[in-house]
Amino acid sequence: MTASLPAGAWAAANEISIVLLAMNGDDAAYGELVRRRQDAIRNLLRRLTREASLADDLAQQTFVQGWQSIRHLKSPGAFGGWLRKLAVNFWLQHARSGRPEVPLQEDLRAEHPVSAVSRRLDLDAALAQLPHDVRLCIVLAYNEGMSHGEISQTTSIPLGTVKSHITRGSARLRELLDAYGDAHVQ
Amino acid sequence: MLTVTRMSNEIDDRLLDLFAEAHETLPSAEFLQTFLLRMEQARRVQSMRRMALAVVLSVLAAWITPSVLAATASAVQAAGHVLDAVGGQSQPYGALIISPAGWAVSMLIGFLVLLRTSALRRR
Repeated sequence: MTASLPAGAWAAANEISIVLLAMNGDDAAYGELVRRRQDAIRNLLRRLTREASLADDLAQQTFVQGWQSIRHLKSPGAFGGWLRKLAVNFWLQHARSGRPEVPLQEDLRAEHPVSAVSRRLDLDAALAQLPHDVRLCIVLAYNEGMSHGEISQTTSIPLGTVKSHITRGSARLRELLDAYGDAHVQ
Repeated sequence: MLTVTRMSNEIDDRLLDLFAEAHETLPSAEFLQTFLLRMEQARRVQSMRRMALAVVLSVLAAWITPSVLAATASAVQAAGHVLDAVGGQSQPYGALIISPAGWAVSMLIGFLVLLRTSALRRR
Protein backbone atom coordinates (compact mmCIF):
# COMPACT_ATOMS: atom_id res chain seq x y z
CA MET A 1 0.00 0.00 0.00
CA THR A 2 1.23 3.48 -0.80
CA ALA A 3 0.75 6.07 1.93
CA SER A 4 0.03 9.50 0.50
CA LEU A 5 -0.68 11.09 3.90
CA PRO A 6 1.08 10.58 7.24
CA ALA A 7 -0.68 7.92 9.33
CA GLY A 8 -2.10 10.43 11.82
CA ALA A 9 -3.45 12.77 9.16
CA TRP A 10 -6.14 10.40 7.85
CA ALA A 11 -8.46 10.94 10.79
CA ALA A 12 -8.58 14.70 10.17
CA ALA A 13 -8.97 14.50 6.38
CA ASN A 14 -12.46 14.98 4.96
CA GLU A 15 -14.07 12.09 3.14
CA ILE A 16 -14.29 13.73 -0.29
CA SER A 17 -10.51 14.31 -0.37
CA ILE A 18 -9.93 10.71 0.67
CA VAL A 19 -12.33 9.42 -2.00
CA LEU A 20 -10.49 11.52 -4.60
CA LEU A 21 -7.17 9.98 -3.53
CA ALA A 22 -8.68 6.49 -3.64
CA MET A 23 -10.10 7.19 -7.11
CA ASN A 24 -6.54 7.94 -8.21
CA GLY A 25 -5.34 4.54 -7.02
CA ASP A 26 -4.21 5.38 -3.48
CA ASP A 27 -4.77 2.14 -1.56
CA ALA A 28 -4.04 3.71 1.83
CA ALA A 29 -6.86 6.20 1.16
CA TYR A 30 -9.22 3.35 0.28
CA GLY A 31 -8.18 1.57 3.49
CA GLU A 32 -9.21 4.66 5.43
CA LEU A 33 -12.60 4.66 3.66
CA VAL A 34 -13.08 1.01 4.66
CA ARG A 35 -12.22 1.90 8.27
CA ARG A 36 -14.78 4.72 8.26
CA ARG A 37 -17.59 2.91 6.47
CA GLN A 38 -17.27 -0.66 7.71
CA ASP A 39 -19.54 -0.12 10.70
CA ALA A 40 -22.45 1.22 8.63
CA ILE A 41 -22.16 -1.38 5.87
CA ARG A 42 -21.82 -4.29 8.29
CA ASN A 43 -24.81 -3.12 10.35
CA LEU A 44 -26.90 -2.72 7.19
CA LEU A 45 -26.00 -6.25 6.07
CA ARG A 46 -26.59 -7.67 9.55
CA ARG A 47 -30.16 -6.38 9.47
CA LEU A 48 -30.62 -7.88 6.00
CA THR A 49 -29.00 -11.26 6.62
CA ARG A 50 -29.49 -11.85 10.37
CA GLU A 51 -26.15 -13.67 10.35
CA ALA A 52 -23.04 -11.79 11.48
CA SER A 53 -20.48 -13.92 9.62
CA LEU A 54 -22.44 -13.84 6.35
CA ALA A 55 -22.97 -10.09 6.75
CA ASP A 56 -19.23 -9.57 7.25
CA ASP A 57 -18.42 -11.76 4.25
CA LEU A 58 -20.81 -9.75 2.04
CA ALA A 59 -19.34 -6.54 3.46
CA GLN A 60 -15.83 -7.75 2.53
CA GLN A 61 -17.02 -8.52 -1.01
CA THR A 62 -18.61 -5.07 -1.17
CA PHE A 63 -15.38 -3.32 -0.18
CA VAL A 64 -13.23 -5.38 -2.53
CA GLN A 65 -15.64 -4.67 -5.41
CA GLY A 66 -15.57 -0.99 -4.39
CA TRP A 67 -11.75 -0.99 -4.48
CA GLN A 68 -11.77 -2.53 -7.95
CA SER A 69 -14.27 -0.10 -9.42
CA ILE A 70 -13.84 3.15 -7.47
CA ARG A 71 -12.17 4.88 -10.42
CA HIS A 72 -15.50 4.59 -12.28
CA LEU A 73 -17.30 6.54 -9.51
CA LYS A 74 -18.88 9.63 -11.08
CA SER A 75 -18.60 12.00 -8.13
CA PRO A 76 -16.65 11.66 -4.85
CA GLY A 77 -19.70 12.91 -2.96
CA ALA A 78 -21.69 9.90 -4.13
CA PHE A 79 -19.32 7.41 -2.50
CA GLY A 80 -21.56 6.50 0.48
CA GLY A 81 -24.67 5.83 -1.61
CA TRP A 82 -22.66 3.98 -4.24
CA LEU A 83 -21.10 1.71 -1.61
CA ARG A 84 -24.51 1.04 -0.05
CA LYS A 85 -25.87 0.11 -3.47
CA LEU A 86 -23.00 -2.33 -3.96
CA ALA A 87 -23.78 -3.90 -0.57
CA VAL A 88 -27.48 -4.17 -1.40
CA ASN A 89 -26.66 -5.80 -4.75
CA PHE A 90 -24.39 -8.35 -3.08
CA TRP A 91 -27.14 -9.18 -0.60
CA LEU A 92 -29.78 -9.48 -3.35
CA GLN A 93 -27.45 -11.76 -5.31
CA HIS A 94 -27.01 -13.92 -2.23
CA ALA A 95 -30.72 -13.87 -1.33
CA ARG A 96 -31.76 -14.84 -4.88
CA SER A 97 -29.23 -17.66 -5.03
CA GLY A 98 -31.71 -19.62 -2.89
CA ARG A 99 -29.34 -20.51 -0.07
CA PRO A 100 -31.34 -21.13 3.12
CA GLU A 101 -31.27 -18.53 5.86
CA VAL A 102 -30.11 -19.36 9.36
CA PRO A 103 -32.87 -20.78 11.57
CA LEU A 104 -34.27 -18.80 14.49
CA GLN A 105 -32.08 -19.09 17.59
CA GLU A 106 -34.85 -19.49 20.14
CA ASP A 107 -32.44 -20.59 22.87
CA LEU A 108 -30.21 -17.56 22.34
CA ARG A 109 -33.19 -15.21 22.48
CA ALA A 110 -34.42 -16.89 25.63
CA GLU A 111 -31.03 -16.29 27.26
CA HIS A 112 -31.46 -12.52 27.01
CA PRO A 113 -35.02 -11.81 28.16
CA VAL A 114 -36.12 -8.29 27.22
CA SER A 115 -32.58 -6.91 27.02
CA ALA A 116 -31.20 -4.82 24.16
CA VAL A 117 -29.63 -7.96 22.71
CA SER A 118 -32.94 -9.79 22.88
CA ARG A 119 -34.71 -6.88 21.17
CA ARG A 120 -32.07 -6.92 18.42
CA LEU A 121 -32.48 -10.67 17.97
CA ASP A 122 -36.26 -10.23 17.86
CA LEU A 123 -35.93 -7.48 15.26
CA ASP A 124 -33.61 -9.56 13.09
CA ALA A 125 -35.83 -12.62 13.44
CA ALA A 126 -38.92 -10.60 12.52
CA LEU A 127 -37.12 -9.04 9.54
CA ALA A 128 -36.18 -12.51 8.33
CA GLN A 129 -39.90 -13.36 8.12
CA LEU A 130 -40.45 -10.64 5.53
CA PRO A 131 -40.03 -11.27 1.79
CA HIS A 132 -36.67 -10.05 0.43
CA ASP A 133 -37.92 -6.93 -1.34
CA VAL A 134 -40.08 -5.88 1.61
CA ARG A 135 -37.22 -6.47 4.05
CA LEU A 136 -34.88 -4.44 1.89
CA CYS A 137 -37.27 -1.48 1.74
CA ILE A 138 -37.89 -1.61 5.50
CA VAL A 139 -34.18 -1.79 6.35
CA LEU A 140 -33.28 1.04 3.99
CA ALA A 141 -36.07 3.20 5.41
CA TYR A 142 -35.49 2.53 9.11
CA ASN A 143 -31.83 1.61 9.32
CA GLU A 144 -30.49 4.00 6.70
CA GLY A 145 -33.10 6.75 7.02
CA MET A 146 -33.68 6.82 3.26
CA SER A 147 -36.77 8.37 1.69
CA HIS A 148 -39.09 6.36 -0.56
CA GLY A 149 -37.59 8.04 -3.62
CA GLU A 150 -34.04 7.20 -2.59
CA ILE A 151 -35.03 3.59 -1.89
CA SER A 152 -36.67 3.36 -5.29
CA GLN A 153 -33.50 4.70 -6.94
CA THR A 154 -31.19 2.40 -5.01
CA THR A 155 -33.22 -0.76 -5.48
CA SER A 156 -34.84 -0.07 -8.89
CA ILE A 157 -38.21 -0.96 -7.30
CA PRO A 158 -41.06 1.34 -8.51
CA LEU A 159 -41.92 4.15 -6.09
CA GLY A 160 -45.49 2.94 -5.47
CA THR A 161 -44.26 -0.55 -4.68
CA VAL A 162 -41.66 0.85 -2.26
CA LYS A 163 -44.41 2.74 -0.42
CA SER A 164 -46.66 -0.30 -0.18
CA HIS A 165 -43.75 -2.54 0.90
CA ILE A 166 -42.94 -0.11 3.71
CA THR A 167 -46.55 0.30 4.86
CA ARG A 168 -47.33 -3.41 4.83
CA GLY A 169 -43.88 -4.44 6.00
CA SER A 170 -44.02 -2.08 9.00
CA ALA A 171 -47.40 -3.46 10.01
CA ARG A 172 -46.19 -7.07 9.71
CA LEU A 173 -43.01 -6.24 11.61
CA ARG A 174 -45.01 -4.71 14.46
CA GLU A 175 -47.22 -7.84 14.62
CA LEU A 176 -44.22 -10.15 14.74
CA LEU A 177 -42.45 -8.04 17.35
CA ASP A 178 -45.58 -7.98 19.50
CA ALA A 179 -45.76 -11.76 19.26
CA TYR A 180 -42.09 -12.10 20.27
CA GLY A 181 -42.66 -9.60 23.13
CA ASP A 182 -45.54 -11.70 24.44
CA ALA A 183 -43.36 -14.81 24.23
CA HIS A 184 -40.70 -13.15 26.41
CA VAL A 185 -43.31 -12.15 29.01
CA GLN A 186 -44.64 -15.70 29.26
CA MET B 1 -56.33 21.75 -12.24
CA LEU B 2 -53.37 19.55 -11.53
CA THR B 3 -53.52 17.93 -8.11
CA VAL B 4 -50.24 16.81 -6.62
CA THR B 5 -50.50 14.08 -4.03
CA ARG B 6 -47.41 14.01 -1.87
CA MET B 7 -46.03 10.63 -1.11
CA SER B 8 -45.89 10.16 2.61
CA ASN B 9 -42.60 9.08 4.09
CA GLU B 10 -44.23 8.25 7.41
CA ILE B 11 -42.02 6.30 9.70
CA ASP B 12 -43.05 4.31 12.75
CA ASP B 13 -41.24 5.78 15.76
CA ARG B 14 -41.20 2.52 17.67
CA LEU B 15 -39.54 0.70 14.78
CA LEU B 16 -37.15 3.59 14.30
CA ASP B 17 -36.07 3.30 17.96
CA LEU B 18 -35.66 -0.47 17.62
CA PHE B 19 -33.43 -0.11 14.58
CA ALA B 20 -31.36 2.57 16.31
CA GLU B 21 -31.01 0.35 19.37
CA ALA B 22 -30.00 -2.62 17.20
CA HIS B 23 -27.08 -0.69 15.71
CA GLU B 24 -23.86 -2.19 17.06
CA THR B 25 -20.51 -0.41 17.19
CA LEU B 26 -18.28 -2.88 15.41
CA PRO B 27 -14.48 -2.82 15.85
CA SER B 28 -12.65 -2.22 12.60
CA ALA B 29 -9.20 -3.77 13.21
CA GLU B 30 -9.95 -7.41 12.42
CA PHE B 31 -12.30 -6.52 9.57
CA LEU B 32 -9.68 -4.23 8.04
CA GLN B 33 -7.02 -6.93 8.35
CA THR B 34 -9.22 -9.42 6.49
CA PHE B 35 -10.02 -6.77 3.89
CA LEU B 36 -6.32 -6.11 3.23
CA LEU B 37 -5.75 -9.85 2.72
CA ARG B 38 -8.68 -10.05 0.30
CA MET B 39 -7.48 -6.97 -1.54
CA GLU B 40 -4.05 -8.56 -1.95
CA GLN B 41 -5.71 -11.75 -3.19
CA ALA B 42 -7.83 -9.79 -5.69
CA ARG B 43 -4.72 -7.94 -6.85
CA ARG B 44 -2.90 -11.25 -7.47
CA VAL B 45 -5.87 -12.66 -9.39
CA GLN B 46 -6.02 -9.48 -11.48
CA SER B 47 -2.33 -9.56 -12.35
CA MET B 48 -2.54 -13.27 -13.21
CA ARG B 49 -5.50 -12.54 -15.49
CA ARG B 50 -3.59 -9.69 -17.10
CA MET B 51 -0.55 -11.92 -17.65
CA ALA B 52 -2.72 -14.68 -19.13
CA LEU B 53 -4.31 -12.12 -21.45
CA ALA B 54 -0.88 -10.88 -22.52
CA VAL B 55 0.24 -14.47 -23.24
CA VAL B 56 -2.93 -15.17 -25.25
CA LEU B 57 -2.48 -11.92 -27.22
CA SER B 58 1.20 -12.71 -27.87
CA VAL B 59 0.37 -16.21 -29.13
CA LEU B 60 -2.39 -14.79 -31.28
CA ALA B 61 -0.06 -12.11 -32.61
CA ALA B 62 2.67 -14.67 -33.37
CA TRP B 63 0.10 -16.82 -35.12
CA ILE B 64 -1.43 -14.16 -37.34
CA THR B 65 1.61 -11.93 -37.87
CA PRO B 66 3.21 -13.91 -40.77
CA SER B 67 -0.02 -13.90 -42.77
CA VAL B 68 -0.68 -10.23 -41.92
CA LEU B 69 2.88 -9.33 -42.96
CA ALA B 70 2.59 -11.33 -46.17
CA ALA B 71 -0.74 -9.73 -47.00
CA THR B 72 0.62 -6.25 -46.15
CA ALA B 73 3.75 -6.83 -48.25
CA SER B 74 1.76 -7.98 -51.25
CA ALA B 75 -0.66 -5.08 -50.86
CA VAL B 76 2.24 -2.62 -50.61
CA GLN B 77 3.92 -4.23 -53.61
CA ALA B 78 0.69 -4.05 -55.58
CA ALA B 79 0.28 -0.40 -54.58
CA GLY B 80 3.93 0.16 -55.48
CA HIS B 81 3.36 -1.29 -58.91
CA VAL B 82 0.38 0.97 -59.40
CA LEU B 83 2.32 4.02 -58.22
CA ASP B 84 5.35 3.03 -60.30
CA ALA B 85 3.06 2.87 -63.25
CA VAL B 86 2.11 6.50 -62.65
CA GLY B 87 5.72 7.50 -62.01
CA GLY B 88 5.90 7.26 -58.17
CA GLN B 89 8.66 5.51 -56.24
CA SER B 90 6.96 3.81 -53.27
CA GLN B 91 8.96 0.54 -53.27
CA PRO B 92 11.31 1.75 -50.47
CA TYR B 93 8.25 2.40 -48.19
CA GLY B 94 6.96 -1.12 -48.75
CA ALA B 95 10.35 -2.53 -47.83
CA LEU B 96 10.48 -0.32 -44.73
CA ILE B 97 7.10 -1.55 -43.43
CA ILE B 98 8.10 -5.22 -43.60
CA SER B 99 11.60 -4.60 -42.19
CA PRO B 100 12.47 -5.27 -38.46
CA ALA B 101 12.55 -1.49 -37.87
CA GLY B 102 9.09 -1.13 -39.37
CA TRP B 103 7.85 -3.96 -37.19
CA ALA B 104 9.35 -2.34 -34.06
CA VAL B 105 7.70 1.00 -34.88
CA SER B 106 4.33 -0.77 -35.38
CA MET B 107 4.69 -2.47 -31.98
CA LEU B 108 5.52 0.87 -30.35
CA ILE B 109 2.44 2.47 -31.90
CA GLY B 110 0.33 -0.46 -30.68
CA PHE B 111 1.73 -0.08 -27.16
CA LEU B 112 0.98 3.66 -27.17
CA VAL B 113 -2.60 2.94 -28.28
CA LEU B 114 -3.00 0.48 -25.39
CA LEU B 115 -1.65 3.09 -22.97
CA ARG B 116 -4.06 5.70 -24.33
CA THR B 117 -7.03 3.38 -23.91
CA SER B 118 -5.98 2.60 -20.29
CA ALA B 119 -5.83 -1.12 -21.08
CA LEU B 120 -2.51 -1.41 -19.24
CA ARG B 121 -3.51 0.52 -16.12
CA ARG B 122 -2.80 -1.03 -12.72
CA ARG B 123 -6.49 -1.73 -11.88
